[in-house]
Amino acid sequence: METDPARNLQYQARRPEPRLSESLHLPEQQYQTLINAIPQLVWITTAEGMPDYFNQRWMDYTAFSVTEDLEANWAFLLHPEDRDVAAAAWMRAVETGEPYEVEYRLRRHDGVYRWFLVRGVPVRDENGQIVRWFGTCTDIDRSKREEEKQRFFAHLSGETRTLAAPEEVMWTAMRLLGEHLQASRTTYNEVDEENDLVTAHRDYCREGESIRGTFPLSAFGTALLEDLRAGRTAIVVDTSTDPRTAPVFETMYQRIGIRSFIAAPLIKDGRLVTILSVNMLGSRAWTEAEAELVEEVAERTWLAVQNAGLVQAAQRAVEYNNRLAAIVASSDDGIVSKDLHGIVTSWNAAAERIYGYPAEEIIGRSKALVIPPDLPNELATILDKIRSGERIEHYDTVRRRKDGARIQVSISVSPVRDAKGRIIGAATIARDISERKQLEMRLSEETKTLEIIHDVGQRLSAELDLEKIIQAATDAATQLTGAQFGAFFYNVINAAGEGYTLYTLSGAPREVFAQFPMPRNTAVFAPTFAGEGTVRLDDVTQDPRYGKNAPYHGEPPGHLPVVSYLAVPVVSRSGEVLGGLFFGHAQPGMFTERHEHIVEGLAAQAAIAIDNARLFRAERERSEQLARAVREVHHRVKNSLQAVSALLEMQIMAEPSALSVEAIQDSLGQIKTIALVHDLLAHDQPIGNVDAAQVLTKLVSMLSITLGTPEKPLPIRLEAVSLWIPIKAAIALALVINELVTNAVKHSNSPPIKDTPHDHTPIQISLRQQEEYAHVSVQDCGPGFPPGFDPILHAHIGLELVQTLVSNDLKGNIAFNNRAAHKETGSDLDERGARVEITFVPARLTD
Amino acid sequence: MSEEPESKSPSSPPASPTDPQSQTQPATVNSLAGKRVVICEDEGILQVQLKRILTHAGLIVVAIAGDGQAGVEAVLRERPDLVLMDIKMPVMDGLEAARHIIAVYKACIVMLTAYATEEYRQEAAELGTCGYILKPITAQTLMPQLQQAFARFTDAKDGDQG
Repeated sequence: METDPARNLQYQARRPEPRLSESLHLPEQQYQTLINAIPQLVWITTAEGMPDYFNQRWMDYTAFSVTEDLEANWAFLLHPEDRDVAAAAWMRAVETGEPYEVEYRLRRHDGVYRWFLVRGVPVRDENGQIVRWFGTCTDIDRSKREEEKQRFFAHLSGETRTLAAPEEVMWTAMRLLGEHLQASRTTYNEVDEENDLVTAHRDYCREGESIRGTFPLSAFGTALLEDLRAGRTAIVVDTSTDPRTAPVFETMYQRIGIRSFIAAPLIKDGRLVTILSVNMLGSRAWTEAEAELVEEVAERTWLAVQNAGLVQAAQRAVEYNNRLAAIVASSDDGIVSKDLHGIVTSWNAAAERIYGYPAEEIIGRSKALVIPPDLPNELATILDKIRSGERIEHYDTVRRRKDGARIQVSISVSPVRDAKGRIIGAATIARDISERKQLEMRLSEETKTLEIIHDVGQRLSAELDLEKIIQAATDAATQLTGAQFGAFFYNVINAAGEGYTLYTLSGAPREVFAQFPMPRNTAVFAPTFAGEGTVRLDDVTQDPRYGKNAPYHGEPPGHLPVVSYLAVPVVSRSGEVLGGLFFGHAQPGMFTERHEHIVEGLAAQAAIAIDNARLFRAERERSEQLARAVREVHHRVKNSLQAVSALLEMQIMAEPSALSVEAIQDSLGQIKTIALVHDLLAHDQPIGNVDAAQVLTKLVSMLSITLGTPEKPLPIRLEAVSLWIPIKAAIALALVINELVTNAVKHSNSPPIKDTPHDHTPIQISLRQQEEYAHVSVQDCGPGFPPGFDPILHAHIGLELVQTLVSNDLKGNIAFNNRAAHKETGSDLDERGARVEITFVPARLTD
Repeated sequence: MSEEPESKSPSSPPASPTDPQSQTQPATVNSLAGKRVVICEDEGILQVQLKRILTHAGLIVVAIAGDGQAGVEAVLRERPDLVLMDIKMPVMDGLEAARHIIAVYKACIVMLTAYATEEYRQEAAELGTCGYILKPITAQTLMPQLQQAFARFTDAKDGDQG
């Protein structure tokens, strides 16, 4: 590229054709003096605009002299950015002859451009023809630069104002500064003097590599650092030649590619806080204005960074406070602050709920308002701890609500400190644990209840003794309901038909009840004994059913005072109301629905236990009865076998050599007779009494066959009334009748008369009852007893047996008669035959 | 039906020389002949049987009682050598009756029962009764047992006196 033409301008001042002095009609010397006296740069051109004259100031400034070449080259003295505008304006002015005014930067001899306000006016001759252009350049560089600077700072602050993060502010400032100065790099270095470190967070880097990072302050070089620490801005045109940087040039500046720079330190409170450095890869002649700008940017950036930091901290604080406030407001725990005198300073919504005081009512008043009077020292104790910096954690205590109710709270109290760490108050977090405490209490109560129920349940299920069951149920229910006394009344109406039987009592001695009438079938008690359900009254004396009955109209005088009343029927599975559990308390409203349920549960268990006990008892009775019956039958069989054995033994004794067929038949008849009573027992009932009429009926049908023939049974007439007698007596009676009938047939010597009318049966048996006596008679149609018949003397085995059985087993009498004694009927047939009459008293018979 | 107990009695027990029982029996039958006896038994049939067996063996049945109470009265009235005492009886049982009797009168009481229980046997022995005979009874088994019981009674009585 070609070199700057302005730089190589070599010109000789060309003398203007008509001299200016001539044009102005001034002597040359005077003119020169005048021109040079003008404090501005002065130039004069021809009417065509060609350079004609430049004053000394101009030539001093530009280091140009007026030569021929200037005509072609003078424009190169203008800043390249301003040339076109200036040229256009100048051409227009020359064409129109109107004054020319423009601002441009003019290059000084040292290469520095400064701003000038340039004005040119045409000089006319007497004819009005433009002969020359007269112009001045006024140095406005300072104000122009100032203006530029203001624009830059306006831009800078506009860009950084909205930035919140300090890092963003730094970066933006560096970027704008770098762009503005056309620098290779701009770096905002934060100084940590304590550790001799310098940190560049993020540098603006137009060319070359970033030098961000942390490095020692000494890297600047001792001499330079001295300037910086003294607050002097370092302007280095070339690090390789500047004596302050040349010693470290090799080591650092060259490595990181810094050939020239401005380093502006910032001292705050006597400490070096930042160094703003603007540097170039190549050397650069920095202007003072640039140095000043850098200094100012350093200052402003620092302030902006500080502000951003503060703003950020403030924002965070606000956010934190907002969050905190939100937490406090929405907390379920009461959060209260107070000063060291206990005066409430804040009070959240939960505190309003817990203590019942609205915030506006309690703020400014003492926290003692919510402390119960019985804890007078609690507030002072807490405040003492807080003053000494102690915390109180999860302390369970009692508070008083506005409505006076006591509540259980768990509180944590912490000291509140100001910015300097001084304790200025206390913050309390309070949790209402009344519910929890109640829950705990209910739970432990429930556990106890369950234990008792479980215990009594086990006892009830294991118990088969009715009285113990009812006592256990009554005791447990009395304990569980908190009743002063409880009682079980059996659902059995007493002899008078009105009172219930007291069975068990709990909580009061039995004697207390003994002197009062039993509860009667009154309106209060009736629902229980009717099994209609539980009756629970907070105050029985207020119940409309109460006191309606004479004579007491309420409790008998001196009765245990019952106000709270609970009565639960005890109903068996079958629906039978076994009785009722009754509970009383002298205070009203002592029994709750829960008590009701507990007692109902117990009543159900007790009912089952009672049922079981009853079943057990019935079963035991039944099996005992059965065992008795078996023993009885066994005994009876044994007795009968003994009797059979004895009868046979006696036959053998009577006929020791050989038993006759007749004897065997006699024995068979006796055995069959015994057997038929057993037969009756087997069919009807195993033990107890039998009907003598049935025994005789069976006996007669047996005898009529054995004594007659199956085809032609012996007619025997039997008239018998039903008579229930013990088995032993029945067997004895059957054996007696068997013996008598058999004897009658044997001794009548006349077999049954054929063709006798039906009512004239040969044997007639009757069993009658007359008052306490039973009369049994057997009569035949035979020859009767021989004259002088003595049953004792004539006692053959059969007859002896008959007499013994009647006297011993029937405890009766026997009479042997001939029917001749009953001759009054007049009938020949009737007069014949023997008659045996037995009399006994059934009531005297024992088994 | 007539009976001839006296004529039949000497020959009534089977008297085979090879029978070991028959060798001792004649002597013992004789030893109880003429002894006075009270029967306490509530079953009529058994009363008749016992009376017949004892009478047949030469003993004199001086009373028959149908219950324990009557038995005690009869024994104390008659002062017999021998008492046959049933256990299960109405009004008063045999053991109770035996206790009453032994308390005031030393007789040879032989219990007669259908109960084989050891407790009864034990109680009867402790009361001081002399025998315990199980029902049912036959003439053949009853008499030797009665003789043994009476022999024990006599020995004990002799011992007391000696």
